[in-house]
Amino acid sequence: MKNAPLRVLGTSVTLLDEVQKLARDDLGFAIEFNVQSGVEVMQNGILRPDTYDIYDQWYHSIELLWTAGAIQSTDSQRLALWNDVGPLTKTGRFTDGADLGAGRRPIDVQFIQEDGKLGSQQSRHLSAVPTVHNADSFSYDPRHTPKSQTLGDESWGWLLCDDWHGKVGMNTDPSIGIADMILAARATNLIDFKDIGNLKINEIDELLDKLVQFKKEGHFGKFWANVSESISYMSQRKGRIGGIWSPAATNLRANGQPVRIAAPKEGYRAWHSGLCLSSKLNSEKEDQAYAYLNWWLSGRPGAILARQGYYSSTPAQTRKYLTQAEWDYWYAGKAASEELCDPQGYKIIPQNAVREGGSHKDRMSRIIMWNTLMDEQNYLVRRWNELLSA
Amino acid sequence: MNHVNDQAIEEAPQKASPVVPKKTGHPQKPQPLYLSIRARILEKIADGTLPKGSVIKEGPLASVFGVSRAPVRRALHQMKQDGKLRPALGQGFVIGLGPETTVKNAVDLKSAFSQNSAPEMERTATWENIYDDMLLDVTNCLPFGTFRISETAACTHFSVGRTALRDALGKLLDNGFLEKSNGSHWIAGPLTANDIHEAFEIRRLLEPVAFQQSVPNFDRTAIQSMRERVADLLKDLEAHDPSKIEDIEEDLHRILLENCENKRLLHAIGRSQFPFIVNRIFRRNFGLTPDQPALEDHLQILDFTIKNQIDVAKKMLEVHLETAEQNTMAKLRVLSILPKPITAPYLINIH
Repeated sequence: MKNAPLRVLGTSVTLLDEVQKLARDDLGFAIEFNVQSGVEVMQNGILRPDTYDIYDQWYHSIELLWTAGAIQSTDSQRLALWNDVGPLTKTGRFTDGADLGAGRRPIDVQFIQEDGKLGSQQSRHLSAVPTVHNADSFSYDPRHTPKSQTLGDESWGWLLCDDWHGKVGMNTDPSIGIADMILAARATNLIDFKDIGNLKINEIDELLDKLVQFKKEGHFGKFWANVSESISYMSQRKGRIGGIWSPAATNLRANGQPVRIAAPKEGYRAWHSGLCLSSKLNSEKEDQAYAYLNWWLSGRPGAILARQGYYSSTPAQTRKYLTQAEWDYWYAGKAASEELCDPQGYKIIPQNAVREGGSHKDRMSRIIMWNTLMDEQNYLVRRWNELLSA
Repeated sequence: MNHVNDQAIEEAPQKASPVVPKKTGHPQKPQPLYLSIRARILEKIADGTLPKGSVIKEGPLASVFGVSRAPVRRALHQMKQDGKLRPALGQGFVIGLGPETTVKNAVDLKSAFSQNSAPEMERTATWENIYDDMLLDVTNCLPFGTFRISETAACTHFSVGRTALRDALGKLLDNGFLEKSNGSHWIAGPLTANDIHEAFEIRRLLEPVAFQQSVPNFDRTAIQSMRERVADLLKDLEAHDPSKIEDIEEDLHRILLENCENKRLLHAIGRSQFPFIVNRIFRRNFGLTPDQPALEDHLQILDFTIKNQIDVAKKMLEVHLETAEQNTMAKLRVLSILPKPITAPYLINIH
């Protein structure tokens, strides 16, 4: 059993080939990445804890795995760099006074409470080890921006604006695609939500009825389940705008296609990823699992993922493995002093470019909403699936 | 005159076919299933196959007769009212009024009911025959969308007529598992977080009141048995039997409230206990070890009740229901990852 590889289940967002190779080299034992779409990872994470040792996914899914008994707690005293993990994880705010954001936040499920539930009260035992996070928005092709809209004055409302009719791509994930649509519907005054982080049944019905109408009228060009589908849609010149994630934007840039990542005036939709231990983790594999968790806080993988726009939960460690130019562009919001490469080594950022939205602090302090799981998630998902098949 | 003529016309067919009368005329209205079950049990008591002191239970009897629990429950309840049975200290009923002797399991009952030449139990197409199966079909689909019930398909599925079917549907409606749409269709689901919140709000308000009214008249030894059931389960959570959890829930949230004299109150509580559906579907799909803190709540509530500290027990019941609401909501969110199950053919998915 000891010689069997450590099995990591996750998405292409963090489980890059470059990360796997570096982990194997640094840790000296076999590691196997099982890469699936976001929804598949969540389903298998919940239903098949015997098929993985480590679950690498978004925080909004963690409560489901905990409730279903698929994961076990992580002992923070076995994490050498736990003290280096920043306030976003421990207090929910990147800096004092920053926006907390709507929805069920990572901090709300971070710590195991005395009653065995997940909560924000700090404790020794964690639901997940925080790895990377980002402030997301949508991206678009700046060469085809309608005259009615101007660069630098971006709004979530663009996603439902007639000027982009037929050229809009959306993510199929019911926690992410729906969040983009909630923000768009609010920005265009289509619906007045009471709490965008926790919709009521009538609000879900109203939103989904309207989205089905948009879909039937041909507003959406594509719904994609993963990063490669979004790249393909945008690179075929069919798509002009959509919920394109940072790795997709990086890839398109590497292939010479201009992409602008919006800095919406309303604020960002944030997410955080983390690592959880399977409830079926074999005790013989426990040391390897903790070695892997510690490695993620070391800054080594954080530096690789910084090159696709992600922020590490231990930035001070990550900085050690970035050049000054990389740190300045990705984290500090300064102009690139030289051309910068993506994780695969392709040049994607020209000299003098400045990251949209500014620094790590600027962007993570403007969170309007987190990827979330609503009380009515079960109803929402089923209505969302109706939209996808409409 | 006209009147007389009309009568003559109406009577004419009978006169024209004198052979028809008693044998092939309207069949005598069949006896309800529960009465047949009652008759069979009484017969076995009378001939000594089921001696006084024997404990008989709903589940094994239903399985021996090959029927759902509902008619057995009704038969036993009526026999209790008739003074033929009394509630056992644990579960089930004791025959006669003397002490308990032996518990009759399914094997004992099977042999008791197969060793004579009594006529086959008369089974009729009443709503009781189909109610439990229908309840299971309907509740299994509730969290997964909105379903319309096709009466025609349901009649075929259960091999019953419209009257029996509508009686069963009416009962489901009355118990809060179905609704009627504006177009008079029978609609099941969707079960939402809001429904669960509202149901628990009602339960938090009503169950403690019913509890306070019911427990002073409740046999303390029976409460002691309920307590032992919880304590036994807590001793070995890993080796639990899921049906024991259901029994423990039933003890606190139904049986212990039964002595409350306000039947409207009990009915309202019963109508609000549907969130159990979420726990049942969750248990079936994720099969976890039981929720220890919840069981400890049960133990403490029963302990305080035994000590006659009813106000403390009542307050704890209220807090227990608050936690139960949060747990049920969390489980409902997990159900969001499950695909729609295959449903009975008479449930038409409309959303």
